[in-house]
Amino acid sequence: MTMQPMDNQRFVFPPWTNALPPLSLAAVTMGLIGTIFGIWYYFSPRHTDVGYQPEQPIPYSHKLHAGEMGMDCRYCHVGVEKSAVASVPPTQVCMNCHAQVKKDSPKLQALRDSWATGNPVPWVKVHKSPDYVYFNHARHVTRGVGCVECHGRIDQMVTVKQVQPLSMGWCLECHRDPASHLRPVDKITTMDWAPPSGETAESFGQKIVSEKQIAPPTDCSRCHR
Amino acid sequence: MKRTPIQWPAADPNEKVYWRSLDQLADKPEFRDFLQREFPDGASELSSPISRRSFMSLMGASLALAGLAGCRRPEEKILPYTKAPEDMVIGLPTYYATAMPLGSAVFGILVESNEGRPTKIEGNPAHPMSLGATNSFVQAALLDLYDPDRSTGPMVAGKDHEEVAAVVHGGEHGEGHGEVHGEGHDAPVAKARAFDRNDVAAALKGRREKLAAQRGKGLAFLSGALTSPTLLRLREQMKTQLPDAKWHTWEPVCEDNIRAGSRAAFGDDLVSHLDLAKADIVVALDSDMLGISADAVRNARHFAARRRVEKPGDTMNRLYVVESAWTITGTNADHRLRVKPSEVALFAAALAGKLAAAGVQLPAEVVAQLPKGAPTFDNNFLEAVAEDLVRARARAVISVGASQPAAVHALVHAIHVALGAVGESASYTKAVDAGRPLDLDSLRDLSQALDKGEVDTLVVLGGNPAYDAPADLKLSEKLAKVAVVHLGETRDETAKLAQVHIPRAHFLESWGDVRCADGTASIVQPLIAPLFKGWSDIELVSYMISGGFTRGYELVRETWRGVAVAKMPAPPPPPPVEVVPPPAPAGKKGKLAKAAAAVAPVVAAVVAPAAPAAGATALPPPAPAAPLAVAPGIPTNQVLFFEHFWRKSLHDGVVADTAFERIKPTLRGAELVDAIKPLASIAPKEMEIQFLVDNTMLDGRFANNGWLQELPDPVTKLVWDNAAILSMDTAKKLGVEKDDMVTVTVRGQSIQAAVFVQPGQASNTVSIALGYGRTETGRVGKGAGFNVYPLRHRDALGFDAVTVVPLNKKYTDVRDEWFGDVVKLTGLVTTQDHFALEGRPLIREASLTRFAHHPEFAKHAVHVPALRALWDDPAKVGQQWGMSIDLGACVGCGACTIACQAENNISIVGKAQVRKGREMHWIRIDRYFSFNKSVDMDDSNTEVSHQPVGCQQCEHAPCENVCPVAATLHSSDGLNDMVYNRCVGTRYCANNCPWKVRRFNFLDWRGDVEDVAKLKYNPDVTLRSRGVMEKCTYCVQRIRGAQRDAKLKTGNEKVQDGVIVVACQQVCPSDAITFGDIMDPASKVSVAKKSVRNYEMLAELNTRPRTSYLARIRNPHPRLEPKHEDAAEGHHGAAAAGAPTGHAAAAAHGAQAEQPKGHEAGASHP
Repeated sequence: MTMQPMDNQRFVFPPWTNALPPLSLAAVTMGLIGTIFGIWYYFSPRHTDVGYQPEQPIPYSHKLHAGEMGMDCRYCHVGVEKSAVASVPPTQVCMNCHAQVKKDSPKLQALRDSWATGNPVPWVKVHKSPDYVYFNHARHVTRGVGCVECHGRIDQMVTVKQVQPLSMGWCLECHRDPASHLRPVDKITTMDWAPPSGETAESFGQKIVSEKQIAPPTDCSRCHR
Repeated sequence: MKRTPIQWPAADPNEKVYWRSLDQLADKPEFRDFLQREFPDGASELSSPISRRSFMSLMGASLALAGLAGCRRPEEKILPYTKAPEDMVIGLPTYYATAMPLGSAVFGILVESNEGRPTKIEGNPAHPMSLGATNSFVQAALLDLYDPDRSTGPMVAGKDHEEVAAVVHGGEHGEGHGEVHGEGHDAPVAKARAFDRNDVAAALKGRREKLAAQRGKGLAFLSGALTSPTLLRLREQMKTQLPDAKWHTWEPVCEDNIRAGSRAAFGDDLVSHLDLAKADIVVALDSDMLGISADAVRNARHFAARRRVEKPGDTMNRLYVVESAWTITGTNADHRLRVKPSEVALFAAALAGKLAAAGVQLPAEVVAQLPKGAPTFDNNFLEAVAEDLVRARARAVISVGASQPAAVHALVHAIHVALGAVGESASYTKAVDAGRPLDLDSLRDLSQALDKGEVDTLVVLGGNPAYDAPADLKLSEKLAKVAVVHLGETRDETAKLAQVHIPRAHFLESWGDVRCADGTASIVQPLIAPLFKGWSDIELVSYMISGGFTRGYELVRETWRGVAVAKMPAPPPPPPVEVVPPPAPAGKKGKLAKAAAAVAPVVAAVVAPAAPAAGATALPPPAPAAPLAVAPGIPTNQVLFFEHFWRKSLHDGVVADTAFERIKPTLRGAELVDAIKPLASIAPKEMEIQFLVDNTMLDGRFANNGWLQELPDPVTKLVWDNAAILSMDTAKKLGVEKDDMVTVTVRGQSIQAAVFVQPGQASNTVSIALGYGRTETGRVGKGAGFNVYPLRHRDALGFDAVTVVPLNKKYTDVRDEWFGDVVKLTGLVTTQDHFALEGRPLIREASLTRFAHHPEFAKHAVHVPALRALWDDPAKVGQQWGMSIDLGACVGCGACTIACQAENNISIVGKAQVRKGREMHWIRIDRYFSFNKSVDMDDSNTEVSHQPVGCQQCEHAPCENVCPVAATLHSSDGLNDMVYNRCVGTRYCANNCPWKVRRFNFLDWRGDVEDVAKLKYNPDVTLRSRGVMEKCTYCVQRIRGAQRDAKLKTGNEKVQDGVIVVACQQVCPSDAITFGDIMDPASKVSVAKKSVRNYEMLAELNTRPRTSYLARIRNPHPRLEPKHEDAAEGHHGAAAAGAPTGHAAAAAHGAQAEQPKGHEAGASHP
């Protein structure tokens, strides 16, 4: 038995394949760049965190309480003008009313259980900052940064949802240019506050900046320590 | 362009050589390693128990886990209170005043509480023993509260739980909580149920009833030093209700000699309080009065206040120390004489002789009793001390250590009286619980009663006699034979012998009260409910006496109700109250007080200001001991008045007007002479052992405290161990060196211990610290050091004769690093070479005379050419922070290191890691030895200098320039910020730091922290994970907090001077640290930086550190200064030579003499 000479033509790549190496290189490069920018963009808090809206153990509606009934934020969040944290109210504060109002509602069973047993209501945290960030509510609120600036229209939310990324870049945007985020201190809890007619938020805020000598720091140790 | 060389001063024959360890002095490779490598060889390797391979596999696993888990947002919970406590704003700390009892010492403290967790202890400025500062024990007490190895529940008959066969949950014990074992549902389930308070009550009840029926016969209590008025009240109650019960006291570091000396001299238990603010000449005889004695915090403040000279002509005090091993006090001495412990008494006697010869009016009979013959020690020293004392008279004071025999104490009282120092530099008051039996007598009585079988039940209140009682009493054997009821914070050696063990509530968990040495009382109020259901001392005693459980709160209030009523202002119209001389306890308080005293005679006796001792004349009281003034707002109703009194006392942290009266006692005659007789028969032994009270463990009670274990000893810098400390000459004689094991034998009892060679230690004296070698302790204390209590006998609690025999083996322990069966790194660990800097003039000091001639010596130690920075100067706008550390005031105690650790959540790393230089302390205290260059170094001529070093917060920080990820950079107020979340762990910054103050997390030190230990963290400071660099931040959280408060209050961020107090500054007993705004010329720190003594460490590097130092001034006696040519003074002008004190030319040029190679000694000195 002898070997037949093979037809060499069968093993020659067609000419169009010459373009493959550079093309695939370009594709891989583009793919990598795309991945990087994709991660950069879509893995940022703007996309991962905004919209976070967990179910709460009690279907408490800010829309009802703060919006329709017009309760002031500070009725429950008492620490906001004094402390770093606004604080979630103790069960007792809820019971101030709900010992009388809707006291048999099945939705409030968890609240009554908490009151009876002394175990806290396990609220799910919505607005989180990392442990190495020391944000202080009092410093912002008493300078005229309204609740709505960071928390959005809470008065329209049945279930609270995160509307701002709370990322460092987002913080710094305001720290570098605070004017358009300021309002009179007595209007901080007013959700639909607008600057007086004829003024823009920028121009009105500028007055507050100069009046209150507002110069937000950007030193690392202001928030990280 | 050629750089102008930094000019070092001319070589000076009087210069001192500064060094840290014998290794450095000999330039051994071990030291070069520390100097040049930053971390020694092997420090950056991963070592066992996690090998590199297992680390890689772990990393792989955690990456995989991270990949999966990282996609989901972890759900966090907010758990609010159901009922919020009144006045609490979440996120804002609250502060409470309370007091800490520590043996016979008491510290008034303010405790920070964050959401109900005590997180930091500070001194109470209103308390006479704290004056706003604390010491390392008080700082570290917080860690004991959260110790996961604390006793978590009662034990009955050596078991802490019971296998209970039960079908129903819990059984009759409502509080029981156990895990269900076994599978069956229908069959009875065997449960392991933890014992609880009901079991304790059940175990005690029958026993108590039996004892009560026989009027307390067979019942004995054993407590520590009694400083609690409530406990004293209960003891009196016991005497009436259970008259046959006995009460014994025992403190391993007891006051017996002090009390016996005072009884001999004055016929009463009096305490001499040093008033170092007034004293020009201070003599410490084997007394660590600036370090760990009960009044050390107050003493350090007053002592340092007299050492801050600012201009030529200022005067300062002079301290002579006679001791064996270095103490903190010894390191601050202007002159120190090292003698055997027994020779201290001989020194005191010789001194008394010299004083009498110099015309001091000591009683002739006393002088006649003094030993004759020439003293064996340095006569020059003795004469200098005598001369100074005679000159200073009333402005002189002598402090005697508790381990010196009563004769020395009595003699010194006589000297104080003769010098006229009583009421001046030494003021006397009655002692707390005066007249109680001496601890040794009391313990001996207990031991005999145990022998005779007279004790049926022994209630131990917090002590650990099985570990720390004198060896010849063999108490642990005897305790095993009786029913011991042990109340203790840990399950220690005594707990293991106990029939019933009850967890003891920590002082931050329980109500109580205390009186400090001068009588000032404080209410101890809890900041947290008992974490492990512990009982307090008073609750247990009350239970044993009355048979029912009364809360400590009620017991304490009952004590003070009587006192308050007695203090009540007289009802209007106030009849003039006659002050009847001599004032009797009830006499000067009018009818109401008498009525109250009748109701509670015990209380009145316990807490009323003491009447002067018999035969004593009362000094005119500084302020009339008037009841509280009738002011508007003070209730006149008894019940309401008590509430007012109670709240005020709790708020202030001290009960007003409870300090004892200062009295002027008169010396006794024959009794004093009898007491002094033993001095004549003292014969030093050939070799002596000294039982040191440890600078960190005290008597062993802090054995499981990681902060204290890892705090380097102020002198030896040893961590996690004690050692047999020998002088250089004795070690040479014995043929041993560091880490060699020796057998130490006292009266036939032997222990083995590792040797540490300490220059300056007394020759032929081995000093071993108490408090180590605990067998029953937690994970931290296990295996630490050598237990020396087996060598300590009743008649020789301080020192004894000893033989020391080398063992020809090295020290290894389980905590060393083992490589298979071979120990890889072993021996004692000392941090004295860690973070060493090349020889530069880091420490600058001079004698007072040299300072007078050349006040700017510190600035001129280095001639810095005009330096230009590579970078633009940062704009100094607004407040700029800076610090000044006064080396003249710093006593080197190490409290700042612990305070910083508590404030900044700094981890401990363990012995094996410290060996590699991985300790995390943000502020270290560099301890230098020095000797005069003109003489050969030996044990006798070493001096010690301390220098606290934290981050210098350079304006042109070298660390910032090398960080590739901008994790460390400058803030606009001049702080060198460290951003943990940016740090990737290159360690370039640490490498580039000339001060070696950056600390790297080589491992995840905060990883396996148990839940209860997490409660101690300061919520204002981030916890750092592995791979992150950290360092001193100037307590940036406190700066930002003060700025926030200022802004919220005034709308302006500007903080007033003195509002920001950083942790190291706050704790410092001697007020050596000043912090504040350097832009404000009036701020304390600016004033300090303007001092002529001010200098910056390594200023020649032009990094412009914000921390600067004030050079130390020593005040040597002119005669005792080393002889040398006056060359150093010569080029400062002829003034020095002709001055009366010219022969006292300073030894120190102030510059560290070891100069870098290549230094051209040509630079001239102004």
